[in-house]
Amino acid sequence: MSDAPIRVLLVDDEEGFTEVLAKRLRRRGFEAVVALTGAEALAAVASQPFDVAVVDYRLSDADGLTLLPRLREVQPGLAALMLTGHGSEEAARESLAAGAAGHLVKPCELEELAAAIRAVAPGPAHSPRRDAHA
Amino acid sequence: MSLRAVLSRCDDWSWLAPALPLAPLVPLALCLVLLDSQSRTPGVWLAVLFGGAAAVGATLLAKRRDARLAAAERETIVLAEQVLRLGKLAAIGEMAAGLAHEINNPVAIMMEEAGLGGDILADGAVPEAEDLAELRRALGQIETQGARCKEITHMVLAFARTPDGRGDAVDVSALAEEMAGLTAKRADYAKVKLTTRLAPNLPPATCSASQLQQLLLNLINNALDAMEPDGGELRLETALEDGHIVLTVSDTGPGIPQAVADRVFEPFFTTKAAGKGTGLGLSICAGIVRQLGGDIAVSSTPGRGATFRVSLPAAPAR
Repeated sequence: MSDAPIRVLLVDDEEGFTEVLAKRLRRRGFEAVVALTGAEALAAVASQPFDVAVVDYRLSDADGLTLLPRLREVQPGLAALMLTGHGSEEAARESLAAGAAGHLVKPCELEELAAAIRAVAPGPAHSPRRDAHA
Repeated sequence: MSLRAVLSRCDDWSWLAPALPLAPLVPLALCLVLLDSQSRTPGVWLAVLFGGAAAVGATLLAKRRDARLAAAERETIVLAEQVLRLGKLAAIGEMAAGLAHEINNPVAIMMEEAGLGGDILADGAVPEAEDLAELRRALGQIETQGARCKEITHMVLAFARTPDGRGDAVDVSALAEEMAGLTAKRADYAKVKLTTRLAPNLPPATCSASQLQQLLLNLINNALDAMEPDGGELRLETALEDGHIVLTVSDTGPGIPQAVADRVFEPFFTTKAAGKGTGLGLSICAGIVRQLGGDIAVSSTPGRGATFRVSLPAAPAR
């Protein structure tokens, strides 16, 4: 792949889950960084640019919905996806209201997540694979 | 109003009512005895016969009453057991969302690890050493997470199946620890910090472990409900005081005004929104504590939380 890889920030306090998700995304050509807490996520966006943030609803030190606007304050162009344990309509509405481009229910298929990340990633730089799934 | 109608209103005596038709026989027999007191005529024998018949009748009636009472008692026990079982199911229902979440996480990890294994195998015909190590780690992780699921389901099954042995010697601290584990996730989601201070080496309480589980779970769920939606702190403590095992569940919710505190143990009394609480939780708690020969009380400073204190007799030392 000649294009710059999509830079993904994974925010979830379930370490085992986040780490293996990052590994699988990396195998698919993404650049993935893991943050286990809201504080780690804020530190990450302050130190390097990301294209997409995948944020869990519940974190040990923060609430995903309130964390999201704070991440976007630092990086206004950041696209976001919410991950939830339950697929309620309310969760979908809240995610959109908080500025997320979409929300996925855990456990989700990796291909589904990868496709969603490609679909919401901003900019044409990632076009070849993104177009295939758009 | 006839005597029979009056008697039928007195619950304790109503069993005598069917014997009332025999009542006129008593003065009749007395008259016969008086009339025939000089000479032993058949009247006396008639009186003895009637008296005997009345005695047999009364005995039969008493037996019937005992059988009815025993049946009623059995029915009460069955009902009480059903209420307990329903309460338990309701408690599991309240925990369900938290438990589903708790199982979802390890399941998500297992799926990803298995997927990673699949990725590795799909990438190269012969996996390299690094990939093999990754595969081994993924399999280990799947096993670990599977065990985590098993632990959760075991906890729920153990709770649902705890037999209702009335004479169990129960370690109240161990049971409190178990219930804290079972409700930890719900507390987590309710933004509640669950802390325990459990006395080690408490003498056992002679009671039903199943009932005590339900008592604790109701008190914990109640405290969590009280702290919605802002969360707070829930403290679970056990101690030995004057030969009694004392169990306290404290929350940092809005507290209970005195007028309400006087009524919280009444059945169907609830301050929760319609459809949210049955008003039975605390009355079931009070019923259980009464059955165990203990005492339950609530104290509260409005605005600063409430504390439920249960005191149970310790089992006599052997």
